Amino acid sequence: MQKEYDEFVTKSGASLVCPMDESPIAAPPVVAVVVTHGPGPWFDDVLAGLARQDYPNLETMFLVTGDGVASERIRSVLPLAHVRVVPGNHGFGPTANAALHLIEGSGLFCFMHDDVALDSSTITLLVEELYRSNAGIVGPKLVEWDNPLVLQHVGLGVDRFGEVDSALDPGEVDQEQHDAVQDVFCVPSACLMVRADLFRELGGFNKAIEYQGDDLDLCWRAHLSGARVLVVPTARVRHREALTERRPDIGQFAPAARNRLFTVATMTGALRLPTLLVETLLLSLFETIIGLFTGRLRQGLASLRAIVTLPIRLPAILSRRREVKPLRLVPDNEVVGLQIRGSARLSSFRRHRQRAAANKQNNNPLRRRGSLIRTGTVLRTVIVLLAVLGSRSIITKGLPVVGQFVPLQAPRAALRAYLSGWNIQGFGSSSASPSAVGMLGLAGFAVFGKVAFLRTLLIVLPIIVGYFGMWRLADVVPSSRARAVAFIVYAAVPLPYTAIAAGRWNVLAAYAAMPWVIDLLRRISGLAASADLARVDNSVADVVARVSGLERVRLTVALAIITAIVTAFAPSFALIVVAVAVVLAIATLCAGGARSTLVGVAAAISALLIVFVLHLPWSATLLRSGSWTDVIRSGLGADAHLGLTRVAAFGLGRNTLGLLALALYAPVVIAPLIGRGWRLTWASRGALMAVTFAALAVLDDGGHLPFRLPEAGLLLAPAACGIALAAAAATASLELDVRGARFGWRQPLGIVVTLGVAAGLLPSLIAAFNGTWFAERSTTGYLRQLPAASVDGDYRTLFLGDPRLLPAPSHRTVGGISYAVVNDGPMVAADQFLAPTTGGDTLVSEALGLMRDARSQRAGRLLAPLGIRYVVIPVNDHTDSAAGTTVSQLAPGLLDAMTAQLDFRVVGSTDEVRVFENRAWLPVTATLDATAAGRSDQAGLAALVGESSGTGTAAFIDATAGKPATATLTSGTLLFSTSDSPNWHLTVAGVDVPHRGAYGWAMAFDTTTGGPATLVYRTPSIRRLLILGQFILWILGLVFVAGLRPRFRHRRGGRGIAETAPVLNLDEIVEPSRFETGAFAGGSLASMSIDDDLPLGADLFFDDADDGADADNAGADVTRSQRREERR
Amino acid sequence: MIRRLLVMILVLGGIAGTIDIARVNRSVAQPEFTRLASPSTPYLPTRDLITATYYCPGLPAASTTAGGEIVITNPTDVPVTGQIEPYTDSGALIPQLISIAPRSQQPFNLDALVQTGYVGVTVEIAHTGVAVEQRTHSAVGTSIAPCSPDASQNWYFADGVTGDGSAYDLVLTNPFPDDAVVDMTFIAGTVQRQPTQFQDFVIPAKSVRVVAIDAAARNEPTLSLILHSRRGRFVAAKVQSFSTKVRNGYAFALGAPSAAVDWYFADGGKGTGTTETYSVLNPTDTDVEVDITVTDATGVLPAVRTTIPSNQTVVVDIAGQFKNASGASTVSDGTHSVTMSVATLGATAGVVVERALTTTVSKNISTTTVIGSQFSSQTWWAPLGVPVATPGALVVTNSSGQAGTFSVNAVGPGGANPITGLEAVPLAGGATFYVDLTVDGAVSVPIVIKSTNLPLVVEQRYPTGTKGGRTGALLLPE
Repeated sequence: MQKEYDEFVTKSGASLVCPMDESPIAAPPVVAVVVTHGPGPWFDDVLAGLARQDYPNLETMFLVTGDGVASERIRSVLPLAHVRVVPGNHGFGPTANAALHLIEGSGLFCFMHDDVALDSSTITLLVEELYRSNAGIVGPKLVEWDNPLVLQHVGLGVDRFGEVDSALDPGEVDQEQHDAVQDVFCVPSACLMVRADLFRELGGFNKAIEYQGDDLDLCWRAHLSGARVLVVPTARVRHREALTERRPDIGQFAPAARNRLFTVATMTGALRLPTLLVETLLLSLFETIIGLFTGRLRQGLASLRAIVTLPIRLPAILSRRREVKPLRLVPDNEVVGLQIRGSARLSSFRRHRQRAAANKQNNNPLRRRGSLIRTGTVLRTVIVLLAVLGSRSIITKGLPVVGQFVPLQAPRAALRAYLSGWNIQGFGSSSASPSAVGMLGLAGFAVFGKVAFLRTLLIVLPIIVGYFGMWRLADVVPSSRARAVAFIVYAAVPLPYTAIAAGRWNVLAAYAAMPWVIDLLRRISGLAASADLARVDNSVADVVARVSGLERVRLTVALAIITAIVTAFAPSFALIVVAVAVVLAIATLCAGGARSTLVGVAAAISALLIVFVLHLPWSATLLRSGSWTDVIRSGLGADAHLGLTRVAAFGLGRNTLGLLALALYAPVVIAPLIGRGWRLTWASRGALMAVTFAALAVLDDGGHLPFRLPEAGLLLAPAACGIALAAAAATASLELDVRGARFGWRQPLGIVVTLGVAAGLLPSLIAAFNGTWFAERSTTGYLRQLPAASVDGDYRTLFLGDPRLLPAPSHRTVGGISYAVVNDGPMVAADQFLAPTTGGDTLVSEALGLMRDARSQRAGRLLAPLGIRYVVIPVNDHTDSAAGTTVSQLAPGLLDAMTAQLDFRVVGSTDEVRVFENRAWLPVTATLDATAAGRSDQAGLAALVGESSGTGTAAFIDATAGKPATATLTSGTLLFSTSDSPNWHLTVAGVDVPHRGAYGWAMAFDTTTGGPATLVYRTPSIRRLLILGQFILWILGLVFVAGLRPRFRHRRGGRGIAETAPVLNLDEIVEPSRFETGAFAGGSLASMSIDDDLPLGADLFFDDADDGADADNAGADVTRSQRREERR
Repeated sequence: MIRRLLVMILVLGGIAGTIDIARVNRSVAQPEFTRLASPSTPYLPTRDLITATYYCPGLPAASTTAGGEIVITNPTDVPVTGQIEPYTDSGALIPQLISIAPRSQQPFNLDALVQTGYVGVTVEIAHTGVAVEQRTHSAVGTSIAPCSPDASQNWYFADGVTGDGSAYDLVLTNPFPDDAVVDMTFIAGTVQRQPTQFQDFVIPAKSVRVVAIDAAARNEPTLSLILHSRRGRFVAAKVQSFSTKVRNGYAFALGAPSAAVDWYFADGGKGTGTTETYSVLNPTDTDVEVDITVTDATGVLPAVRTTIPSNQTVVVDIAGQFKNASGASTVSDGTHSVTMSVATLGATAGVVVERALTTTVSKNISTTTVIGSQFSSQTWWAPLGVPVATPGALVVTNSSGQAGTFSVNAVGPGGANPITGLEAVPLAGGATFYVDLTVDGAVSVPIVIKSTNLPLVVEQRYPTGTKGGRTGALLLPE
């Protein structure tokens, strides 16, 4: 070995001096770098631990972030300590990097958190072993702070996915079973010792990592550069490990997963990386699915989010890989060899679960002993299985077309429609297509075009998402039982099941999102979660956690994105979110809770504005309509008139014993009655939310309000959340305030709550046995029986009648007549959005007015140029009406008026529907005969109705925007029955044909020659820009919510520290005399055997001139690599 | 405590308030289409229509002895346009566009479109206030009939005779694009039957079907018909030529599209050579009592009540019904008007009444049948007027008990102007006035009878052109 090294020195020309040969061994200078941020009482132990170190050459440097109030405490214990106040809080790693600039010279850094208490010999033992093993990084054994007999970490194993496995069992007692020094892949940054030169060579901690994962990144780089990482179990420290408690704003899982993935992506060799990322994605998906049932959903989602958002960080990853590239001195496969085989995540699964249970058990006095966490998992599994059981026929056979549950478009067609800028809804228009069309298109691609599967997923998944949203929200109550009750109650509310029965996708989306929305409002307001509540006096009304401004903005954007997703399907949802925030704030103020809930109101309003921006340009069309009713009542289910009890019992559709669901309101009344402290506050929030929104739904349903509100189903989503929260608060009150107290009026109320919840479960339980939640019949199946467009040309169908029965959002015209227009073929999801009002709607209104007033029997002629071939009047949809109400209220006289028309022929008549064919219809795109061509110049009621509408021959069948349509035309007039737009272009035999207005609203092309023709819609550039802008905004929003920080922020923070002049030179504090005479005389260091690889040691203790450093390092690196090879 | 109280007040108050408000059922405003009134006897539509549609009963194929025409009268101040769509037994023919000048009248001969049978016609006018009638000719005379503004699912014919040389056809026109399926019921006195061949009888879309009733029901001295469509609406008219000992003549008339509780007849007579019968058909499933009121020269006679059994027709002889204690008729000789009303208060079930009036002039027997008017009006139109100077051409009855005046106006290029001497004709309550259209300017022009304060019922005695015969017809009320 020495020979090889000598050869290397000779070849490289390096001139190395081994001071060890020339001078007595000095105790190498060690600087303990402690990053401190608002330490608590435990900090005294930390300082004491440092003060009693037996190591003779130890300096301490405290990097105090924030207000620096800890400085005095430090100086009172360690008067010689270097204390540096660092403005702001840049996170552990970036702050610790200040050592790079504040400390010069050779030696060792011992980085410490401010919640680590060292044993008196910790530093000495670490230095000894580092020196003995010639390691680059060493770390001590970490034990529990409060119970030092329990092991916390003894080094960390890491797999190729960056997953850490400490290989310890939860609560494992230290019996010196792990006390052998060993190579590990990583040691926790809570306390690690690193050679100063190596630390500088590695560039310090990754400044992009504030918390969680900084140690992995550093150690991985150390491995790449050939340095050893050891754990020295004889050196012991106590560690609180309470980051989530001290910084609840930074999240528990997301930053860790994000940083882990970032490290993996930057450290893994380029050849292995693609495969590894795919494996990581699959593993994350698997973990997410498993997490649904094991209570590790958040971890799974965090991993999934990290991997999905990884491409967004590609520039940062590439940049980082360039930075790391010079450190890659060890082949990638060697580093892999140091990692755990397989998946640490899977192998540690069981240990993690037990550890989590133990942690929560320790953190939360209300968590019951034993297996409540497991019970929670079983509970969630059972309820999710019940939901799946209740949806079994939907999953296995698919759901019939009911209400909004219509087939989805092929992804390509949906995206094409969205991007084209031509809205095909109704009579077509140049207005923006609904954002949901684009979303569904993207979602279709995400499921590889399996839109039927996506449709099923979109029906079933919202239920489960809602469940787990409530599970998360219910974490505000620090009681496992209360949390379980909230989960059960939210699952018992019949809203999602009756929404399926009634075919209401928008209600399902609201049900899924509402708990998450409320949870975000809570977090924005700083309302504490259970972990915080559990540590305070139970008599307080609220505990408010500090939320940084940036975090608040991030949560607001998250709120906006969730709201935007639901708003895409239910435009009024954004307004409901604001209303929820207002009600929460009012309830809080009434209950004497934290006024910070007003921040939630501001956040909800901000989210509303963000939602508007995210949905541009579609959202602008909603404003342009200028009609509150269009926005609020545009969906199906408007004006359901279900009645007081059905609305209050969430009975949107069929439901057996549905009225029993009213029993779920028992906690709403009882919870504020028996609650104290924070139970009262949360009970008030839940109760007022339930009462307010249920009341609004009931009153609006009955037409008792002077203004219109969103449909009942949407209003009932927050009411359902309120009931669940009230139930949770009531349960917590029973546990804390009632149990053990003298018998009084409160105890019986507990029984009432229990009975109420039990009774309220029945309707949903019964519905679960049906298999489709009673959604059994199709209301639009007859559309499949209508002829295909290819037979006679494109046509439209006019739905007319009771808006509750119409299968598409309806326009309401004079006299309250409702109608909807859809294009030929089966209905698709795009038809579920209110079509923009166009000139065609004016003609429809006039035609309906004619029929309503019996002013003509030729309404068919008026509808003919609109391409309306069929008029469909639903009579009974077997959803609402089958539930025992009198829904099928056909407008009096409607059928008479239809049969009195001379152009309408009955082509179908069932108990569900009447279908009429307009014999005067003209195809949407048609070459007109002379009569029709002449009349196309005319406009107005009398002109169109008075005489025959003529005939037309179909052309350009299935012409849509985004795809040129071709046909062979004869000379004459081509009618294109869509709203007049300059973006449509007809070319006949290579010649552009100008268009003119037709029938006062449509387009006609007068061609003088025939020949091959092309009809195409040219999307305006501004539309493309708007879509691009929208896409960027969504990406930016997602990136921001994912917690990815702009790099400049870190640079700014790092630069601020780096600009500080050095305050400590290690070379100047070497004190051999102390080594010789102090505690180390004759001690372990004196007996250290220096490894043959002297340059490493020389470089370690005696920093040479900068100009020789590179050569030294190069030599050292080669040597390390060789040594590692030898060890293996 | 205060906070808890506040929250409880809000929660309980909210629940109680909601229940209190919501328990009051708010009537939900339903959009309402104009309920098409039950089809009625023809009238002149004057309300604000974009297009007015008229269904003409049918024109016989042109021959040397038969034929007909559609006559469209535009009494308004503006030219009107529209189209005529004819139907034959083989379907619809190409519509013809038409244009009628203001205050003018235009006949359209469509009978040449068919070789045999009949041609049904739908006339659409892109205006309102236009009258459409049809005039048919046969060997035994001329008949006029207004075209109906309504198609109906039900048609009733109370009066009818078969056998003894009489011919009785029904002309059924379906102007709609859907087939109509019709069931027919024959009522001969107290006997009701439903011939199999006339059940589920299909009238194809936009076509005409002719049914020979006399072949299906032979030698019936009284025969009523009830036509009910299972699906679709249609128009029904009868073509009756009488050739019996007591009846002679020709009638081409619409049926009654609905039963009614009131029926008005302006013209009636008693005396030598005059036979007047009223066939009262009760198409309902309950017996109906009908009050018969006669106003003759002596005034209004006490009403007589008679019972019409369910699904039967009762032939009422007015002279025989009104008798004094000695058995003598209380109806004076001469003319009289008749009103028949269902006696039951608030009754909606009605009857159908058709009058057969046979007069003998110079041994010429002339029979005319008229379905009465279901309502009275202050304005009545005689679009065809009279082709020649005709004494007693119009019969005007005041259906109220109040006295008043009316005017008779001729519609010419200058508009509707009163005929000299008929500017303000006094009319006592219940009285009848016979209008002579004999002066210049009153012949071959549309006539309109107006009153500012009287509900009138007006009939026409239209010259048949054969041996001084007249055919009766109701005018068109507004």
